Amino acid sequence: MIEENRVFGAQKKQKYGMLSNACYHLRAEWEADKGLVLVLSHINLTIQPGEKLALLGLNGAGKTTLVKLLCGFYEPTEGTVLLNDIPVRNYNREDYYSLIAVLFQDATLLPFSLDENLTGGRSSETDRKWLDSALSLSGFREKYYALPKQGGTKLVKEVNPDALDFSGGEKQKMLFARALYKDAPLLVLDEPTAALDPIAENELYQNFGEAAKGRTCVYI
Amino acid sequence: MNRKGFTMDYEYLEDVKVQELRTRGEEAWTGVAGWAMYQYESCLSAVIAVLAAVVLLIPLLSGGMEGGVSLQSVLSALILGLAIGALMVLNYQKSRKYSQKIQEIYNNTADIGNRTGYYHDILAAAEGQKDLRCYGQQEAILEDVHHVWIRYLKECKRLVRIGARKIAADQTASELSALLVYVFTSVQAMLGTITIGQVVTCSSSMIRLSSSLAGLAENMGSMERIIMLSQDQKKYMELEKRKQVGTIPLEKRRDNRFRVQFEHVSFRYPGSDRDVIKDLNLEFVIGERMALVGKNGSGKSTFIKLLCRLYDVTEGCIKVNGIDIRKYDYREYCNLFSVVFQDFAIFAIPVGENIAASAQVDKEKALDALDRAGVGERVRELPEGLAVCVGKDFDEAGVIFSGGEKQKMAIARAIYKDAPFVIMDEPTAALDPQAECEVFAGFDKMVGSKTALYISHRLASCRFCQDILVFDAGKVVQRGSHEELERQEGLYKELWEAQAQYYA
Repeated sequence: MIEENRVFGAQKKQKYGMLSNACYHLRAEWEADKGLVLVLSHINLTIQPGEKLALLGLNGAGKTTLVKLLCGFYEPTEGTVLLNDIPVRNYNREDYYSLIAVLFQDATLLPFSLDENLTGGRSSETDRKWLDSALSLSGFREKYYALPKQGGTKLVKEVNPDALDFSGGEKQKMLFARALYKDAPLLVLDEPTAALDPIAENELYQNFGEAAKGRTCVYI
Repeated sequence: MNRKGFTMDYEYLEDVKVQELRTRGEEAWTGVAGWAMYQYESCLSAVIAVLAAVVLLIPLLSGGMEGGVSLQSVLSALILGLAIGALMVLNYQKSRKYSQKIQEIYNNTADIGNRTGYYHDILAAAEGQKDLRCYGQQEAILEDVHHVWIRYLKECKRLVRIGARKIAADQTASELSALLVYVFTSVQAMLGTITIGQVVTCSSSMIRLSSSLAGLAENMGSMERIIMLSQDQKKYMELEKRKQVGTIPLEKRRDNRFRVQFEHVSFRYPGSDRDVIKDLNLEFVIGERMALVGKNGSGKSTFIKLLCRLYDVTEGCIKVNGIDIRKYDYREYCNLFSVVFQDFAIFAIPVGENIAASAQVDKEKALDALDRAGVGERVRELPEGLAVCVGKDFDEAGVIFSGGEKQKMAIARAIYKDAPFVIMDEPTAALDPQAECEVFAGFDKMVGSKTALYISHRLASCRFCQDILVFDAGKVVQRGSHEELERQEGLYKELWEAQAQYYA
């Protein structure tokens, strides 16, 4: 596990442009803390920039763990995870996270407006055009504009009584829109179509090429 | 309160106002119980003090009246009595107002608990934190909490101000009444009604009397506040079951032949202005397997909730074996169904108990169910077997299971219950194709002669079913077997081809 008081190197992450030369080397062996359960063993993997990588496998095979290592949530027990030949843990943590946009199966929504959740910032700072394109690529656009308050809709019913709930499929599209809005060079998707019906799934695949253009993508 | 939470109508659980009642009721309870006891105590001692004072005063005053009842003394006694009485009434009013103001502040800050509680939940579990870090949500949360705290602080300060003012007023009132008493007794002494020596006894008794009465008045005011606080809890506990309570026991049929009819059923969620299901007419063929397909939001999950009677229909009625389901005994009706919902809950208790949904576990049956669901081996491998806790929340030695494994456990739970109706809402969404295949193979054996209902987006799995219902915007637009539907031009064909093209 990452130790919270570990000092990340003074080396600040290079500007976004540099990522185009990114290579990921993964030589990792990960042991869960209890017992000696080996989750990943001697993984050697290089991901070229712009590559689209799919991870397949049985449940419990270690796909999500690999992705977590990639995101820097875990430290490998042996070996290293490198970005541009520099170990991930040498980077400033916030900067490293800004390179990654994720869509995990358990997502966190904040009790603010829909726009604020999608953009992660104040509604006054939203780039409308960019948001619109993210919405259409994710397939969430239709639902978004059909809402009475549109981007001002509040989320999280437990906290805001006037909040709206979304169905599983709608939520998944919303999260995908969030990931796209972030415009990060690395896109990590963990079963993004699990809750979608075949037609919506198809739409997503069609748009995927466009959405993932120029980005590196890891897909479970 | 927990028991009430478990047994109340399902629709209340999704109602924010009800949940707020519950949080406030719970919070109030922790403070109220002890406080109420204290008030009773002080009430009692005040009453005793009053009695003692009166007992002391009467002989004193009447004794002093030997010299004849002078008008002056009676008058002055009356004035004193009135003055003290007036002060007391004032006190009581103040106390009530104070309680009301506190309640107002309390109401204003009730939502703060909800908000901070939500954040707390996010922080307490590891799952929610991946998004948190990745999208940098920390700042937004901190800012929100900051605003909320400022508001809370403001209300607290207001509370303190009101409290301070009240104490000042109380003190003034009591000193004032003491002054009046001294004046009265001195006058009496001057008039000769009582001796100089008795001035002290007399005045101290009177002061005692008036302060005890004032205390009593204050207690009554506080009691009002206690009652107000308990209102939330009372309201929560008294929430009526809106649903009709039926009493007819269900026929027990070993052949599991139950006929279900939906007659002109329409439904909308409470608080919504849109019908999710519109004028649905449907009849199930007995003992068969049915699949429900359709786009997201077309009403499939709602259909299931209505069938299980988690919600009652807004129009029309659902009949089982010719009788409206609302007339059946609710518990027995629920025993008809084995359900696996999309948002299934596997608790942090031993695996065996999760499967059996009870503390009594039939080990053989549980292991068998786990095997059929495809997760039996994993459980058998573990040293504690069925007794291992799911997740580390309650037991350090617990094991963290993957999403897919938990889904298999939910399926095993449905198998264990062995009810005549099996309903599955996307039972294999989190499973890889191989596991899915295993589950469906074992399923065939398990379902046997039971009626089974599947909702799945993986249309391939629906081919196992004899009957497929295609939902669209709350209505059933197509019905038939896979082969029939594939031939027709319609939504089903669209869905099928959208998916099939990638498997070619």
